[in-house]
Amino acid sequence: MIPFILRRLIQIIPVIIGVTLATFLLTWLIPGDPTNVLLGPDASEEARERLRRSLGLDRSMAAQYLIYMSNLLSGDLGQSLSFSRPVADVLVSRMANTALLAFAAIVLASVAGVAAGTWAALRPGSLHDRGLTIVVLFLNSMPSFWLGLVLILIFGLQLRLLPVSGMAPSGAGLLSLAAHMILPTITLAAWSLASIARMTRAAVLEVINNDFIRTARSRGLSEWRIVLFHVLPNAIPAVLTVIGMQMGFLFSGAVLTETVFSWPGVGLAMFQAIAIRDIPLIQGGILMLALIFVLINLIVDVLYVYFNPKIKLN
Amino acid sequence: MQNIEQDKITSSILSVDSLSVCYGSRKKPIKVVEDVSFDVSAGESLGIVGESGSGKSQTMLAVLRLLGEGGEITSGNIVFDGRDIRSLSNHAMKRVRGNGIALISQDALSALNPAMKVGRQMAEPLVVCDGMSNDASRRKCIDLLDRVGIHGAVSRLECYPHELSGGMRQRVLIAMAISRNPKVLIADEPTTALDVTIQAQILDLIDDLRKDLGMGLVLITHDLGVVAGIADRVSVMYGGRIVETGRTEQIFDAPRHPYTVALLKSIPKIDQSKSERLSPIPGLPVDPRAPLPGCSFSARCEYTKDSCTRSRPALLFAAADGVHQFRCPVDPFGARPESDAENLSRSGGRG
Amino acid sequence: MSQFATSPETGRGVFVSNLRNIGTNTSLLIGLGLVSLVVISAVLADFITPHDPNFANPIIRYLPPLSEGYILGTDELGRDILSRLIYGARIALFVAIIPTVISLLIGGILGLIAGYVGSFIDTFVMRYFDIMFAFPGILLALGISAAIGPGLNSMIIAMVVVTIPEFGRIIRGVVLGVREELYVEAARVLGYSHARIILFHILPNVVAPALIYGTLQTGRNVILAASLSFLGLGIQPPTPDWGQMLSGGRTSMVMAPHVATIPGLAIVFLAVGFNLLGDGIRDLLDPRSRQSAK
Repeated sequence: MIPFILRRLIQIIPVIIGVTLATFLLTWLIPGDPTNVLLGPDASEEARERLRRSLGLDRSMAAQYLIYMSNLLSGDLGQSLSFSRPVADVLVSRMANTALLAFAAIVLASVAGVAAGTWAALRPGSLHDRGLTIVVLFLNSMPSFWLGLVLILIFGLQLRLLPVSGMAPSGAGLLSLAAHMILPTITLAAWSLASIARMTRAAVLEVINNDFIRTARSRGLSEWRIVLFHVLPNAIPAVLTVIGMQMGFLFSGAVLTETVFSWPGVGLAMFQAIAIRDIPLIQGGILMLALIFVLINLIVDVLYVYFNPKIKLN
Repeated sequence: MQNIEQDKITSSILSVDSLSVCYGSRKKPIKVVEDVSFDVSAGESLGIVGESGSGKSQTMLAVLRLLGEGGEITSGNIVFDGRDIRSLSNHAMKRVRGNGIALISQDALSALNPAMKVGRQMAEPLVVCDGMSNDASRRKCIDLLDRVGIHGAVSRLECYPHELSGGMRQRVLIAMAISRNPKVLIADEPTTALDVTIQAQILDLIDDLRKDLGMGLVLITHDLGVVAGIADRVSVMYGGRIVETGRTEQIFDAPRHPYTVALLKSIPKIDQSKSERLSPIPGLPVDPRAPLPGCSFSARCEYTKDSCTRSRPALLFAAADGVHQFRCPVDPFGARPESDAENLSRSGGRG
Repeated sequence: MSQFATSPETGRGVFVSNLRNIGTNTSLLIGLGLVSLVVISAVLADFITPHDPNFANPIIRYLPPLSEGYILGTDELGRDILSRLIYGARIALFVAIIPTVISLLIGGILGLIAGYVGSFIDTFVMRYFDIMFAFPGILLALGISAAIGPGLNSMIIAMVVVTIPEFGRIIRGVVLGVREELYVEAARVLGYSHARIILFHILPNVVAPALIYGTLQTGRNVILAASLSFLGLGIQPPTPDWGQMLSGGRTSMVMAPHVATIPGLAIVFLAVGFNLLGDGIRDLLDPRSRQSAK
């Protein structure tokens, strides 16, 4: 197991380098003089010149990338225009809020998705199976921000049951935090829930037709025990891959959800950055979320092997 | 032999009477098992022989009430140990499974849970259903693995199924089947997935266990050769029906149904000369979606007459003992007993 | 025995029986219906819209749905929502279909080359895909769009870049599978040219997955495009665009919720249409996947 983890760690190094290269190249996409965008239109020519030199804009692409990387490794992601603070500071201070939302959403999506998918697969073609298919279709065809707006409309504005904006004020207690989290969590989880339910249904269907399930039944084991200890452990690896993918999407999907609910996370900061073309912040946010995505997928790979003893570690 | 037949009436542990099984919707039912009857006594072994699709496996799944999605027992009785299987509650049925009737599936690799260690898999019902302690169940599993001839049982408990050889997996499956002292053991093609050399070992093992533990054995196979050495009686199934049943030597020495005769002719024999060719059965197995009105074998049978295609043939007695029965109105092999025997000893008899 | 129980479908001519199934393929029919409706609206927009989509009449701002002459009401500037929806269908279809086609072409060619040629080219292309897959789609699209500057072109470029690896990987997988087939092996032994092998033996196998995944991706593109518009990176006002209509209506959620919710319904409508159409095409062309990859 340990050598496998090490090997995977080594394998992601080129991917991480590629990710930094791609984010670096975003600056190169900026039309015209990048300092115009990076510093804002009001910056002095002096400041521009300083930035040009520090980014190596007068030098070769490779040199620019090396400068970018060395800044990156020392934790320097540039200066945010919209927040007038270092990008790294802004992102780090908001990461916890985004992570909180993403984790709540993945827990909700996984638990509800696996349960719904399994339930449907146990009786294929039944009423609730067909119902799930339709719900999955709609959840997968719905922009999350629209779902968020509809939830706000129903639970916040009409029924006045739940807060619709922001995070709980500091010191308001866990209950208030939880109340503020409910709608954003559901909104963020919806798409993933549908994907996980769909994958679970397919995986369970595949497992349940295996001979060993019949063996388990022929030995007098109860149905729930068979589902819990024989079906799910064999269906989980496939589901886990989807959950890992979704986890990464949830961190980035936060851009939309946080915007709708004014949730003070990385995503909201990036939305605010878009309006004034605060490229360094967007660049830093993308890099950070992409690295998290890579890391999560690594963890999922390891778990996949752990849950699936049949895979030979080579 | 005579004794067994006499005991049968009183001591039959599993008896199936005119069982029919259908799949599919009520509007368009597909009959896969029709009017099948047999019984097994303690310590006795019954071979059920038929090609794939003949309904033999479905019959056994019906006995365990484990028919697949859409499968249903439409008529007949199944009595196990004095209890009517069809009227048992789900809860009571769970106790019959494994405890009363155990199943050995054909492909041990797919019949074992790939994500569970062998030891845990074996012990699971012992702990969950029989309330054994973990220690006791572990000791029992080691004993069982020893009993089925797996060496180094202790270390095997920690293996996953894919880490064992095919023969060993089949042995594990057998150990699991006998772990709760069942009264009837159903072995569904227990050797098809194995090498020929291992096949004999596994069959011997099953037969030994049957004798030692006094279980009734139902051995399902497509291969008459497999039942030859083991079964006391043989039933031949075709197209969902039993076409011939009798003591093993009756089936091999004096078969009466054309299908049985054809099956016997298709078995290769060691002393067969090169000039003698195996005769495959012409045509395809009957499609249960398009059942024939008369005898299910009539489409492939060289003796078919008009009467064969019109009505379903009844079971006829072939011998006075009341055991040997067959379903053929033409009875080409009964009519010419002398020439028949000659024929068979040349090309189709027991090898 | 089990053969019978699990696969009653085998033995039939797959393709013929599938064509026969069109009538019972509800996904395909409903999907086709929904998408056609949007396509027809887009084509006939000039003739069927009751009002000028960009004509702002401040006197009738925030008319609720079912108002006289304004069935779906009016928005924050007093423009007719129905007319804007119908014209918006043009943009919606354009930004869903065009990026799919472009990225299917580029991704398909990359996948074809990688899968057919193999060796270091395959490694190189796959590395590139791996890196692209390290980015959640919306994130990279957001970055590209933001860097180039908002607008239709940058949005399409962003969407193409993001979806190329998706198609590339699928097509490469198909090509790798086909390459091992005996008939391709045979064609090679017979000395057929690469062009001939690709054209007559490999491409026909690529058509079905390309059609299936292309349609499904078009459904996802509807949402991706709406998301970018919502974030302010898409079509700039006043061009009627569903995502941007939705985000414009956010400010008036309390007094006029219909301004934001109705364009959302249109997005869902079109996305459901493409998704059903994709599922339907898959059932038609590849019935084996019906259960596993549903």
